[in-house]
Amino acid sequence: MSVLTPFGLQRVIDQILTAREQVLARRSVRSILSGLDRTLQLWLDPSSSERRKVETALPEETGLSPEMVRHTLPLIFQEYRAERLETLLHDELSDPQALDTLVSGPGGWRKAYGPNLITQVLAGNLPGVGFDGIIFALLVKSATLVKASSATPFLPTQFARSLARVDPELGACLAVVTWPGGQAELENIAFSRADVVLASGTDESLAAIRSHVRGRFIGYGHKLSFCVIDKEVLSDAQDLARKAAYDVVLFDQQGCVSPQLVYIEEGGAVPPDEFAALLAQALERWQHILPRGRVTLEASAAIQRMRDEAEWQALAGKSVALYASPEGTAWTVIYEADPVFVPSLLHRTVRVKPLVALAQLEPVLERWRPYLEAAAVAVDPTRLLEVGDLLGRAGVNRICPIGTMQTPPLSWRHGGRPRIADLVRWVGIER
Amino acid sequence: MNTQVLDFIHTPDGKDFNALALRVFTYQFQHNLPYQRFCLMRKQTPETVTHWQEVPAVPTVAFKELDLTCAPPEKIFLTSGTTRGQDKRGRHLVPDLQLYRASALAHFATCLLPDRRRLPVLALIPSLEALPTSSLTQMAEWVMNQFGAAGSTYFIDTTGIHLDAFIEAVARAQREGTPVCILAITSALVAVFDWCEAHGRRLALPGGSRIMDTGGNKGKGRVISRNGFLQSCWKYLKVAGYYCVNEYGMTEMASQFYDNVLYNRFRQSNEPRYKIGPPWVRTLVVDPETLTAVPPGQTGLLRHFDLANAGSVMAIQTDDIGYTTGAGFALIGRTPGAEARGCALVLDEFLSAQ
Repeated sequence: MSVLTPFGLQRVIDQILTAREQVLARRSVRSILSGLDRTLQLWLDPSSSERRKVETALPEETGLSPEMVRHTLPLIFQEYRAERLETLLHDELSDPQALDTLVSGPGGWRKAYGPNLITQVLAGNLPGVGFDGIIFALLVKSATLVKASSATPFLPTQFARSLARVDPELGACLAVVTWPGGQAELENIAFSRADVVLASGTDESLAAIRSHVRGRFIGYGHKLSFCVIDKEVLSDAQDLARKAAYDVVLFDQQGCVSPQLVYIEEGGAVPPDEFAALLAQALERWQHILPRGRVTLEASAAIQRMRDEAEWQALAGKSVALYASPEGTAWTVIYEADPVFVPSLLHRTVRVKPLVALAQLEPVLERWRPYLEAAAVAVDPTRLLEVGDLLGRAGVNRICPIGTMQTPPLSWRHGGRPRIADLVRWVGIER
Repeated sequence: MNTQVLDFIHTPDGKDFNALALRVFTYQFQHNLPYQRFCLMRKQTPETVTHWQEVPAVPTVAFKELDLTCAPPEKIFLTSGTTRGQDKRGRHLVPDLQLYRASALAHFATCLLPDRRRLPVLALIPSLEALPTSSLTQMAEWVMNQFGAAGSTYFIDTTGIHLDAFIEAVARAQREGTPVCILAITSALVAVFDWCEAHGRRLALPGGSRIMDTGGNKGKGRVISRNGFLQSCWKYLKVAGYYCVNEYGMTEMASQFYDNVLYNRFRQSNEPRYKIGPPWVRTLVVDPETLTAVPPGQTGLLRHFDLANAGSVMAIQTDDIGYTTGAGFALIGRTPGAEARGCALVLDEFLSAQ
C-alpha cells in the first residue's frame, strides 16, 4: 500500500462518496445482498484463489496457527450469507424495503436512510473483527472508509479487492486504507468527514478517536466474557469441558466473546476443582487439533509468572491448583477457590472458580459491569431464563450455550445495541 | 556453609563456583523445607542436579507466599509491594547478615570505587532508620559506614526528601573541590534535575565524583530514558556518563549488579555499558516459553544464581527481560502483563486503570 497523503485521502473519500451517490443509493437492498453474497461465496469456497491467499497470509500476519485460520475462516464468513443478512434486516428494521422506498405503516409512510459516509477503524488483528461493520455499511447504502490496523491490513484489503471484482459498483463505495498511528491530519479528515464513525480498540484509543468525530460515534471497547455452569448439568461435565475448552481455544482466546473464567456451581456430580482438571485435559486435546499460535516473549513471561503464582499459592496450602500444558505456555488452567473475577492473560489461560450459588455472581460481577459482553451458560433448562435475567441485570449482553461463544449469530447485539438499526435515520410522512 | 561462601567472597580467584553452588543447593534442599517440596515437585534433588544451571529456580512471586529460609532470620527484608497494585509484599528472610554485607560491599567497591577512594556519600535514599525493612537502605547504610568519608549524609528521612539541603551539599563540594559519591533512587535524582531546571541552577561536581542510581523511575514522577538520565547528570551536575553507574538489585538477592562503566574506566577497557555481577553470582537467560537456557545474546528472562543467598534460596527466577553480553548481561525491562491483542480485555489494562 502506498503512502497516503491528506490530499490523497480527501480524493479517496470524494470518490467513494460520488460512487455512492451515483450507484449505491439507487440500488435495491436485494441487489446489494446479492453482490455481497457472490463475493462471500468465493471466500467460502476452499478452492478459490481468494481463500487460498487468505489462508496463506493470515497465520503470518495474525500469529494464529494455520489450523486455526483454516478452521475459523468459514465460521466468520458463513454468518454473512444473504439469507442470514435478510433475517437480520427484518429483525432490526421490520421491513428492509424501507431502505429502498417509502413504505406505508401505521399513520403514514416511512423510509430509512443510511449515512453518506461511515468511517471504520479496525483495531484488532483477529480475522473478522469489524467485518460486520463493512457489510452493514454497504447494506444501508453508505460509502465506507475502512482504516485497517497497520499491522493486519490483509483481510479487509483482500475483501475490498474481491468485492470490486465481483460487483464493481459496490466495490467502488468501499475503500480500505491504513496508516501508522498518530497521523493527526489524516485522522482528522477521516473522522470529521464521516457521518458515523465505528471503531474498535482500547478505551484510550476510542476516546482519542471520539474527539475528532463531528457526526455520530459508535465504539466497541475491550470486553470480558465468561462461562457459567450450574450443579444440575455437571453429569455431563466431560462434554461441557470439551465445549468450554473450544470456546477458550478459538482465536486463542483473544476475542471479546472468548471466556476468561469458568464459574462452576458447587454441589453437582463433579466438584469445581475436578472440572478444572477436565478442562485442562480438553485443552490439551484441542492443542493437537487447533494448536495455539505464536505469542510474544512478554506474553510467555506473563503466563509463566501467573503459573508461578498459582504453583506457590498451592505450595503455601491455599485452595489453588495449577494445570499447565506439558509444552511451553500453550494452555493454562488455574483452579482458585476465591470467586473473585480476574481477567485472563489470554492466549488460552483460564481460571475455574466455584460458586456456592449462582446468585453469588451478582456481587462478583458488579465491578466489571461496563466491560461485560458474553456469558456461555449451561444450566438446568428450567433455570435458563432466571439465570439469563440475573446476568442481563449484571451487564452481560449476550447469553449463549457453551461451545458457541465464538460463533455469535448476526442477531447478537454487540455492546447491547442493535447493529443496522443504529446506523440509519428514519423519515416519517404523516397522513 | 556460610564460612565457605564468605571465603569465596573474600578471595574468589581460582575458586570453583560449580562445586560450591552444588554444596549450597544440597544445604538448601535439606534445610529450606518449602524449597525442598518445590524441588521434589520438579523431580530434582541433590542426587539429580550435577551442575549449577540445573538448580531449580524459585520465582520472585514465591517470596510472597512462603518463608524461604534455611534458619531463623537475623533480619527480614520486605519488597516495596508497589508494583501492579498488589498490597501483598514479598519477604526475604536472611539468617546471616554477614554474608549479605560482605557481598554487597565487595561488589559495590569493585563497581563504584575501583580507585579505592574514600569519598563523602550523599544519599538520596531513605535512611535505614526511616525505612528499616528495605534491603536498599540496609545496603546504603553499610556503604556509608564502610566507605563514606566525613560529611556523608542522608537527604531522605521520615519527614521526606530534602532537595535544598542536597543542592547545598553539592554546591559545597563544588566550592571546596571535594569529589563526592551520590547514592540515589533514580526518581529522587530526577527531582533534583527538575529542581535545577526550575531554579536555573547548573552545578559542577569536581572530577572523580560519581553517581549510583537504582530503582528506575517509572510510575513515580517524570519518566526519563537512560540516555536522558545520563545527559542530565552531565548537564546539571557535570558528572560524566562513565561515572554514572546504575544498580540493579532485588530484595530477594543478597548480591547486586552494576553498570560496568566505572570499573572499565580504571581498567582502560572501552567495552559498551552492561551489567556485571560479582564472581559468586552467575546469570542464565531462559526462554520464557520453554524455561530453558537461550543461546548467548538472545533475549529472555534473567535467572540468577547467588551464592551469597546461601541462607535462603540461591537460584532466583526473575521477571526481568535481558540478554547476555560480554561478561554480564543487558537489562531490557520487566515483564509487563501480556500485551493487549484482539478485542478481549487483558489484566494489565485494568490494573493500570485503577
